[in-house]
Amino acid sequence: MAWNATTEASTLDAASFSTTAMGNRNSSRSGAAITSNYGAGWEGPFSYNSGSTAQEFGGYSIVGISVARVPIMRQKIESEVERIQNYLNGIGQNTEGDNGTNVVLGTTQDASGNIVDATIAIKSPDMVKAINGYIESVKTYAKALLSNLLAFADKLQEVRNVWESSTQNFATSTIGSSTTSMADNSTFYQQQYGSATADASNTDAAAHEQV
Amino acid sequence: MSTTTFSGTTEQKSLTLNDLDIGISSQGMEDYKKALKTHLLDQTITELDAAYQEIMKVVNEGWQGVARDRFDQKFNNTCKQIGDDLSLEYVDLCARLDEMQAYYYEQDLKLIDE
Repeated sequence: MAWNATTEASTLDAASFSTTAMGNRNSSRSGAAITSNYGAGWEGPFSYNSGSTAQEFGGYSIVGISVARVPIMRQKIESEVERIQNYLNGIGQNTEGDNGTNVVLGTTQDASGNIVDATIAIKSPDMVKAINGYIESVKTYAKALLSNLLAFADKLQEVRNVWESSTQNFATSTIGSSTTSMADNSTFYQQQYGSATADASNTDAAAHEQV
Repeated sequence: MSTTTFSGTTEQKSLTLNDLDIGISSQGMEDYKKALKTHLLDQTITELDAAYQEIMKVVNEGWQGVARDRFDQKFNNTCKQIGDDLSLEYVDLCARLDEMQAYYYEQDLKLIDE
């Protein structure tokens, strides 16, 4: 029996294959240089220790917003501003104020429940009228100041909009462009290197069997 | 010849403001300013502070991060500024009332020569 001393080289250049694949992939990577330090944690632009404490940005390990709660936040601001404005309106309308006190224009109640108004200080219809008018102006100014708080409700909506739009931008520009989104990349991988599951039709698997 | 004697000056009867048609009461003015401070200023600021707490309670249930902290700070600052501004309005109102009171007393002082 003659021994088959002739060896055959594998037709699959495994090293070339992986080098080519990694080279192709590396050339498509974008962003800051990333070096792999397997075993010691991923070293990227931001060092991340998955072992002990997570890297915190600004003191937070978790940042974000609940989009569903933004309308609730806005509604709360609007209702609270309205509540205080109604309280100010109640001072002077002979109605029950927000805190249960009966108040009339320019009047308050003392501890005994007696109405305290400008006439306890001034005896002059013209002067009392002038004082009440001035107090009304102060109330109007106070209500205008409170309206400034409504701008914060608008700010919340703006914050929500920015989070939503920027997240969409992150998905396309950082992880992948509109032509190389994560889904597109997945298709690219499958086309180049076959499916993730072991398959006899895989080139590398078939070549391996030949060896 | 008899000498007519006149009685001395009369004693001032203690009147209240209700006995007069035109007049001013310094005690009444102090009571009025105090009542205005309670309802127009202090209570409004108390309501404003309560509103801030309620609003941030809801915000904190759905937002976290540095942006939320800054929103909280700015909102808090705005509420404080409103309170400070209302205080200045009250001080200005009191100054006007004091000035008006001074006019009344000056009027009384100058009405009859000594």
